[in-house]
Amino acid sequence: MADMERIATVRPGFVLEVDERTPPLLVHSGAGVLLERFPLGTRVVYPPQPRAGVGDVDAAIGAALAEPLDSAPLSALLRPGMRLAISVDDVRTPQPRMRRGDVRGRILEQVLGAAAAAGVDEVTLVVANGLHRRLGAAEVAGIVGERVFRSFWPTGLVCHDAEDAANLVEVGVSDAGEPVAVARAVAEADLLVAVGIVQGPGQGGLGALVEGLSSYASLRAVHSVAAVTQAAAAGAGGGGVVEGRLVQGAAAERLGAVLGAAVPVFAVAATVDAAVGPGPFLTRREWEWSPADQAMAFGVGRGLELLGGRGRARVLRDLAADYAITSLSAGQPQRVAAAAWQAVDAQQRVDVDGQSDVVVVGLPPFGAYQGGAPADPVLAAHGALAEVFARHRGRPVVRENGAMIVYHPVAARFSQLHQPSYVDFYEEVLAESADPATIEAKFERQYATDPWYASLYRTSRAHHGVHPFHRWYETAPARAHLAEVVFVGGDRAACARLGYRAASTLADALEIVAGSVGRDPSITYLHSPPQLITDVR
Amino acid sequence: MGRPRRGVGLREAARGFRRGGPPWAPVGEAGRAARPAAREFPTGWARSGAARTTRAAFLRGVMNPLLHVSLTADAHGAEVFDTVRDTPVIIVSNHTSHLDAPLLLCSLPGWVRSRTAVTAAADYFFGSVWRGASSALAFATVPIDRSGGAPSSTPMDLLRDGWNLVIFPEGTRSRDGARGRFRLGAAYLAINAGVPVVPVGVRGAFAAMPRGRSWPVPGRPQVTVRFGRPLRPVPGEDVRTFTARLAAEVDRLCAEDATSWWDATRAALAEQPSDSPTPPAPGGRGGPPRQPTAADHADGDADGLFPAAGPALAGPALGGPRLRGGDDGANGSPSAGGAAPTAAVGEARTLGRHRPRAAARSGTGPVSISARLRGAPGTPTARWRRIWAATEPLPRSTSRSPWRR
Repeated sequence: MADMERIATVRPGFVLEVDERTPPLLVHSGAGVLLERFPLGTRVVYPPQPRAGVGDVDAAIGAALAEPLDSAPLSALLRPGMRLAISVDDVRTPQPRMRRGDVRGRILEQVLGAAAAAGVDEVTLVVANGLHRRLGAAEVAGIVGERVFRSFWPTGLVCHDAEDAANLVEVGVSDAGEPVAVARAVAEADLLVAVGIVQGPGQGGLGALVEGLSSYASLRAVHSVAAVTQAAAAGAGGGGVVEGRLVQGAAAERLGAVLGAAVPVFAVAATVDAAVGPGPFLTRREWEWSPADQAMAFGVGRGLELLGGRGRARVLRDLAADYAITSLSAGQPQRVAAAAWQAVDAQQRVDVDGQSDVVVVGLPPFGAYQGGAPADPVLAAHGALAEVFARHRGRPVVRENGAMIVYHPVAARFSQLHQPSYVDFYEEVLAESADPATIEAKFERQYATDPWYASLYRTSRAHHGVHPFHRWYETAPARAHLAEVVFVGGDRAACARLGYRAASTLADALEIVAGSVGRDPSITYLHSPPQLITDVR
Repeated sequence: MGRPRRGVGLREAARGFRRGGPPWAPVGEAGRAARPAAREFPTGWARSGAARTTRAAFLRGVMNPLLHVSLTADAHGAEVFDTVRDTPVIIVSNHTSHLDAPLLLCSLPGWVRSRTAVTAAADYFFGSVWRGASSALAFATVPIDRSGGAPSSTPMDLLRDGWNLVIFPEGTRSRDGARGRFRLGAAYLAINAGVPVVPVGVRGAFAAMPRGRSWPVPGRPQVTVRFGRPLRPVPGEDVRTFTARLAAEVDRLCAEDATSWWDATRAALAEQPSDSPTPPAPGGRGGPPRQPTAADHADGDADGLFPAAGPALAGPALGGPRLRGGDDGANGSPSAGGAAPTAAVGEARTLGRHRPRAAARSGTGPVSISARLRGAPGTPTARWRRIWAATEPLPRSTSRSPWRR
């Protein structure tokens, strides 16, 4: 009965202070989970528990399409003989992937149903993968659903190709003089419907749309070190709503405005709750674990450790979560993004009193760019320093010149299929320098225009040649903010290559950072998996 | 040539013997005496825990491998059951083969399958004790009397107990692969029990194992099961309108498999009369409901689930306009049990004959003969082409088997 009540009422996030009675806490460590005892006095930031979703998702989609934000209903925008383009987010969101029937497929069916009812014949669907790897047929089918997939693949449903010059059309020039080229199907459409899932702040909106449908030349300015630093300085780390105002990188906003002026855009966005992985123990507090939860946590940790190699890779690859759809909104893209960010914010925000000297994070075995696999060194650094570090509302949880301790086995293992440019980036570029500005000036152009990487991007499933650069630049604000970064359980050589330190235990890591933060630092642990937004006062 | 023998020989006499089940009474006898309420074949035991466990093991361990060995079976859209977790459902499918029920059961998610019963013809499946008991154990069948008379209360009881029900509204297997007329029982049950209906299109089963065959044809023919989104009767919707909606959705699912979801959706929308919204407006009388096609209400309604007698139609849930009888004499044979009184047919005619074809091309003028032959949209030719495309998979010119090239 008590269990039922606990599930029925959603509890907000809170900060726990570790005392003698605190049990060992769950920490994600790249490829698995472990239970760790933290020093007394450590603050543990728990995200709010997952919220209940909307009851009838199909009805909610219908209501969102019929009563959009700042726009006429979708059925009023459709007319016979028009050219309709539909863009769909790729596998980056949500992570881990959605089990059984992705909500984007259900949205697409309603959008296409409305188009069919309005007599629209010319429909093109584009998977907005931008400079990220193009998807395989099974992955696309998983996103759009079998019905839409079989109806349109491979002629009417394509993955965006940022290297296909013949298929990119310039739709305008931004205020700063950057030409914006997008996929031809989108540029020549009478209406673009953008379908996506928002899982974190800063996702969605016109800026993200351009990023998914444009080319390296257009996106260069958005991802430059200067633009990333400027966006971080503007307020929210990864973008979001600050005091009711949209904050996204200025460069992304610039390009988004060009696309918005060239093509009428109708956005549909769903937000998901914080369900992660198998079993509810990942989202429960440790002291409330049932014996089954305890056994599960221990068994998963040890089991993955014992499995090792291919077995573990298989388990992680098949990782999927049962998400609840917490909100659905449609209409003008920026309004939709703001509404989605508000829903995400309400679901993930935790108030924290003051900054601390050290922040501890555990990286989960899933992420936007690595899919269901433990991250390589570059993406591990990106996960900690760009994704987790940016989850704040204006003020990071760790003080300037503080330290970050990350649980991750920073092993130099890369995906042969997806990351050919990462291998060379790690071997050649990082061997020379780890400073983003230096790398940008010296190596970016060479990698971005390399015909071999372009060929693998176009014909195989590889990330674009410039992909590791952009991920590395996004760590720049955190690198500037932090004095030290230590990876617990990390490979020493790989950490040294990144410019960081490795430690075998948390105690060792605290010993290492003692030089910069002192012998008795204040410690904050962002509870795994760190799907939360800290509001530091 | 010997002396002509008196009476019939042993072979002739054995033809009249039965090896179980109720005795055959002459037709005249059955017609003269009022049919007593037939004792229903007991199937409650087949829904007990032990029987469910046995069935689950049989379907998963024997039937499913057998189907996949002899057929190329695919199922799509079974995730729709996630949206109706809190209520029992009626699963409605077209019926072309004995493969339909096992295929359907094996395509269901395990948690749905364990509480799903299949309605089966009492006269066919429950004619003998062995046949009835084995089919009840293997497929959780419940007997439905197709010969008219008082409908069984078992289906409604099952829904109340939280069991899902598979119903083949055609009442029998198709003789030519095309979908037959949908009887009204499934819609009647759904409206009265207030449960959603999951439409299913099974395509390829006729080509794989038509009437008269007891084993699928060789060469692992393709059979596809497609689940559609759950349909709920809108307030005030009458049984016939809802049945027509179900039939249209099952057709669309078959057409979706033959072509694609996008093409099938557009074709269904093109076929729909421009003045009839789908689903009909709540209230039933406010706007014109979607008219059932001629095949949908051509003759009687007796499928053992729907009360065949006219007065029983006037249930509390049946607020919409009542349409009885066919729209043309060719299809309008009287009810199977002779239950629909002629007065009701005449009344329906005065209430208004529906003219779906006229409505479909209102404003465009009459379609020329050549357009009809060509199969222009909205003509019977186009409709038949679509039905053929939906029900008859293209014959495979080459077999996958290396011995059958």
